[in-house]
Amino acid sequence: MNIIIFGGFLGAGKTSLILSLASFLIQKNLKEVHQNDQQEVQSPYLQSPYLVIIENEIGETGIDHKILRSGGYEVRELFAGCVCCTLAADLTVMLNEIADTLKPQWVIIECTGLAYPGNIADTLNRYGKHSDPIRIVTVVDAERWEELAEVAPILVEKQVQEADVVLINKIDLADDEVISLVEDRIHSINASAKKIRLSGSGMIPGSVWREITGANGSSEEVTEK
Amino acid sequence: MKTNQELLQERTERFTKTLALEKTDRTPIILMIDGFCAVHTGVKLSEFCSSVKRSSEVMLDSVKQLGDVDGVTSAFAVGPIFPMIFMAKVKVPGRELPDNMLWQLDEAEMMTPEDYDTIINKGWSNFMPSYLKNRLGFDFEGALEQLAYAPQAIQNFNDAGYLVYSPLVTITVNEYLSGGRSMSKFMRDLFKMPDKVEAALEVIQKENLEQLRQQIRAIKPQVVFVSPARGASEFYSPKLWERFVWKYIKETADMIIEEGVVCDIHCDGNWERDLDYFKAFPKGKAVFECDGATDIYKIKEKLGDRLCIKGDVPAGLMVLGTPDEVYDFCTKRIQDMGYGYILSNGCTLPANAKLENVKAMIAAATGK
Ligand SMILES: Nc1nc2c(ncn2[C@@H]2O[C@H](COP(=O)(O)OP(=O)(O)OP(=O)(O)O)[C@@H](O)[C@H]2O)c(=O)[nH]1
Ligand SMILES: [Mg+2]
Repeated sequence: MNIIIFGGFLGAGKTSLILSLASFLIQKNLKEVHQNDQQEVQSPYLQSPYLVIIENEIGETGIDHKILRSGGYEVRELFAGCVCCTLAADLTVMLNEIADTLKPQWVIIECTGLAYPGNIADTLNRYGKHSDPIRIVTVVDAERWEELAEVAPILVEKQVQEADVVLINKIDLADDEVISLVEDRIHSINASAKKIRLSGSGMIPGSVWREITGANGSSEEVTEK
Repeated sequence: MKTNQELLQERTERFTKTLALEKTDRTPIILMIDGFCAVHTGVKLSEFCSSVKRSSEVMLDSVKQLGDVDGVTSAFAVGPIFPMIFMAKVKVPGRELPDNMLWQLDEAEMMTPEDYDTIINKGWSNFMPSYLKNRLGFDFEGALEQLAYAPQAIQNFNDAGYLVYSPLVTITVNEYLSGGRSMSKFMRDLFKMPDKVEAALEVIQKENLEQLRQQIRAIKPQVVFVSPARGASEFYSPKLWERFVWKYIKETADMIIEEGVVCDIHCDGNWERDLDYFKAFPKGKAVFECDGATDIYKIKEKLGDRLCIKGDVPAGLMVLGTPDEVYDFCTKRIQDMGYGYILSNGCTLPANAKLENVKAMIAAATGK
């Protein structure tokens, strides 16, 4: 089970990007199923989903369940009950249940915008049943970076610090100069993370998602956990 | 066997001494619970949320089964009335959600920047009720009617021998706006029009303090619960935190203390950067309530000679840990914190916490 956690401030574009990654993964899976077994009409993903997305309910962009069901995704929603709690425990319970029952190849988790994806990964690693490393992708809103770094510096910087990959999103809304500044700043906070500029409202090249998923190992040789 | 009245007296004494950082026979344990009680007693969450009265009955049932706890934070579930606290919609089981799903705050931009002007010009009490009714579709009168049961709910707990930690609850005023505007938009407002936001907050604060003072005088609680729900240091730069969070915590706490009541400050999230500010409170007059995100040892080091500390048992541990882990964690806290510490959940005990873990937590405090 490959796990990717998407973090990043409220409205940064997490859901939009998750949807793009999801359709990339589904298409890749379809191709692989066809290549491996031309005869088999019933794809295996119809029984158990290839990909599960865990969403927090609060969010500007909802995920359209109709599109998803047809494509081998399944979406789970997580409920907080409180404005401040960060849900890591419920997430672990849900993830363990998914690992036992659905056994998907991929799980994508969207954090609330005020959560630290690294803390959530810590809880999952401590109590989770999965054994693969968790990848953390932090989405940064290029247009709002300057504002948020001034208003909530600890939050946005820590979200960046914990990331394996930082997606600098909404580059359609910011000047190149601003984007470069944001990128420099992000580099100074987390030099080792891969940084990728993109726009969640446009087309995202497959190379971005190959980079993020390929590094996880099992996307080519599909191994069951 | 002790009567309920004797138990209540014993627990109240232990609690009162702890607030004052005085020596006690043992560390008091106060549970912050709601949805857990429904799961524990096999009541559907939809039924649990149907009224203040019903949630309170279920909670009392659950607590009686749990045994020797000193008290509970609240005598009923506040989830269904979240709109009154956060100025945002809430999805409730049995209404918007399946019967057994926990309530969920549904935050969106429901308040507009123009509303700041309305609040400034007409006052909060001329804005808020109609906002709740018309914009959020919240049954404000109905909620007030239900809340009229609160004193009886508290009485029922007392009659059963349990104290109710904070019969009176308030929120720092910035939370009204960050909930109503949505946290994301509110932060943009702080960046783009801080003066306007501040002007609105001043109006709300003034009315809020006056109302709270009247309530304190009417109810005469031992503790008032102040929630700066998302006021943690990590969500604000130092300058903004001081101006938009601390100022209102301080003013509210000062008034509560002035009325002779202890102020509980519910500090969810990480407050480490700003712990020194809390030295402003006189000894034994405030409680620092933490949820595991702020290092409790740092709180103890900086504020331990001044403030009572409450909480810290992490939600995750109660759901995912084993009873032994919970017992060891709580025992260590009790030993390390000494007097002036109330064993409690860091924020609400999750509905899916394991019953054995709750029992282990109680055992750590009672030594039974
Ligand atoms: N212009 C522009 N808009 C974008 C881009 N990516 C996302 N958006 C928009 O930004 C808004 C928020 O996007 P979401 O994908 O919902 O962001 P999120 O991080 O999931 O938001 P929350 O779950 O609410 O924290 C939506 O209106 C998106 O259409 C982008 O690259 N450019
Ligand atoms: Mg989203």
